[in-house]
Amino acid sequence: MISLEAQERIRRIGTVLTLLLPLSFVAFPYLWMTLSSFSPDKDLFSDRTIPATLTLLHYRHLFERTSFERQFLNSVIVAVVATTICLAVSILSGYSLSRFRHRWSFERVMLLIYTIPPVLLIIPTLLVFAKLHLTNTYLGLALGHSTFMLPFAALILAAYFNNIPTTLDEAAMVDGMSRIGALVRIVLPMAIPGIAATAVIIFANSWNDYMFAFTLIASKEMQTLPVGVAELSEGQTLQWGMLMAAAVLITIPMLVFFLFVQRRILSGFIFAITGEK
Amino acid sequence: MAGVILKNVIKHFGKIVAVSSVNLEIKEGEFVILVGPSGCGKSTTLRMVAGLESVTSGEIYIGDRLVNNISPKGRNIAMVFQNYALYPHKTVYQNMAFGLKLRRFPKDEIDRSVKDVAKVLGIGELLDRRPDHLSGGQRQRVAVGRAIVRKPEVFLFDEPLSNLDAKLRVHMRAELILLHKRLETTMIYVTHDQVEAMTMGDRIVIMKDGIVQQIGTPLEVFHQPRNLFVASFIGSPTMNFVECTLIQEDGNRYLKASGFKLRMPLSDKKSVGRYIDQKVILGIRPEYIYDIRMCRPGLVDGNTMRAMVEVIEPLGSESIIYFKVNGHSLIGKLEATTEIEMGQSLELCLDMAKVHLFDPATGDLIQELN
Repeated sequence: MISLEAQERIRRIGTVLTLLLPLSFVAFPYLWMTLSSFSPDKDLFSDRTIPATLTLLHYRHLFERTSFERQFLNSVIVAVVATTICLAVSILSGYSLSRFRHRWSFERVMLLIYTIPPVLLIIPTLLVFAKLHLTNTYLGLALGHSTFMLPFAALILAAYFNNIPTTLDEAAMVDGMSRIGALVRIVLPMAIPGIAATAVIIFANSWNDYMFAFTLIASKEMQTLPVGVAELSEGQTLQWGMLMAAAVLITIPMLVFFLFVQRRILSGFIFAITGEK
Repeated sequence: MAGVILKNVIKHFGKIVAVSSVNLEIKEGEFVILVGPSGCGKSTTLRMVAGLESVTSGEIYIGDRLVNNISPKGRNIAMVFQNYALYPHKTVYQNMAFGLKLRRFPKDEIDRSVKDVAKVLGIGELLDRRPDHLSGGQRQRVAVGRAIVRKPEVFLFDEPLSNLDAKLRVHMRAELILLHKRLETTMIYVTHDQVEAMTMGDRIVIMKDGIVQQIGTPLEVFHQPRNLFVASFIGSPTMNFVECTLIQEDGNRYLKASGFKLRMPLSDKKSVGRYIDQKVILGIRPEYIYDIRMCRPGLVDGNTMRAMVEVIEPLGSESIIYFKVNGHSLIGKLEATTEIEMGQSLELCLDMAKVHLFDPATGDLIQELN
């Protein structure tokens, strides 16, 4: 007969092992990528797991031989603008979905839109944006990202707002606020975790997007990181070292961002789904 | 301070009629209770007065102003919600000051008002706390304080005591009654609890399925219910109803059912005469059913029935007894000192002057009390 303490210990070990398995699938490629970025060329295809020496050469070449810095700046600008536009619109849409009765089901329509594969929207988007002179612009690319993410963001925020009692808005309106005032001064401060969670998802999608950036951006000066990094794999020789270095540098901003806001993101999702803080 | 008038107010939600033609005039300083079961339209009516729901048709006046198209902030009303609706990210002080701050009152005036009201409500020491650090009763006081500080023309209460425990509810009921006496401001109070309705209001508006059933003082609706619904809703325990036949014998009228024959008091009301030899519903409150041993002599003659005691609920000061009279179930309220046992056969007498007769088809009252 195993004691309760031993059972508890076995349960904990089992939990950790169960979590380690998916974590290793996620973490291993990242670790390998990081090690490769510091490995000399001769060690990249050797049997060694850990290189004999470490080098910063790939990072140096990345900055000297490519437009990585410019691409980084472009990605930051586009992601920030896309996040701002998408959040502004999805907050209003999500609030409307949550607070008002509508004649027909906007949620279903939004969900339907979200199920359309983005690749089907690329060419129509290009044609429309060309007419509006939005191709090869930060705003154009940001709008493309926002449009794609808007249904998802609005539905997530609507779910979050549903867990904030409507009586708070009503109390604010009785106290002397307009509807918009109640949203801005009462509901939004309470919705910060949900908004943070949504912002991170929008930012990450924009940051990592290749398809819209490849289609809507024509000039090298306007290229974003995913497109720029993909070019490293073109040509006659594949620059593995630089590719790994670029990949590591691309993930760092998102990692830092996640580390700072992870608690808010988790609480945002939990509150949206369960209503519990 | 202002009165409130509702003229033919109707509210539809799509095809659903939530409120059907409410006509109500609330005088300045009056405390009116809207009471009824869930879904009867009382909260919807209150929300239309507040401006939180639009009016499908009809008119609402606060004082002399037609307010149909005026937003909540322009109506000079204050509202206390069932879940208090305190802003969780603000302190008690900030919650109470918020309305005055929006109206650009001077800082020192806001400070004075908030502290004065907090002192009256006994929450002066809680001003720096946030709502999640308060008990239910404290939150309720803060919600009431937030309303009082604004000095509105009309107070609206939407089931503010529902979330409190029974003991605190009784205490807060008394506080709200005192508050009304102190402020003398028009108050409209929504509740599903008929005890709150009976004890708090100057007048009660009883609603069912969006329709106003009766408007009157607590004693009026208790003693003179206009229909079966009002008679059954008001009073605890609920009124007893037995289907009988009204017959005429030897110049007297009797209510006859299996197990008893009760003589009606003399009545010259024509409304009763139409029901001779027809089915009627007898209604009598448990308070007016007595153990024959405790009856005063005038009550006994022709007004007795043999009953079996099924259940006894001793409440200390009185006992609630569940009887069976030849298949009919009755509830009585007897003195606690009555010697009685379960399964006992007992002779009961009824105060026939307190009997109500209702039309079985419409549920309307046929005869009022003599």
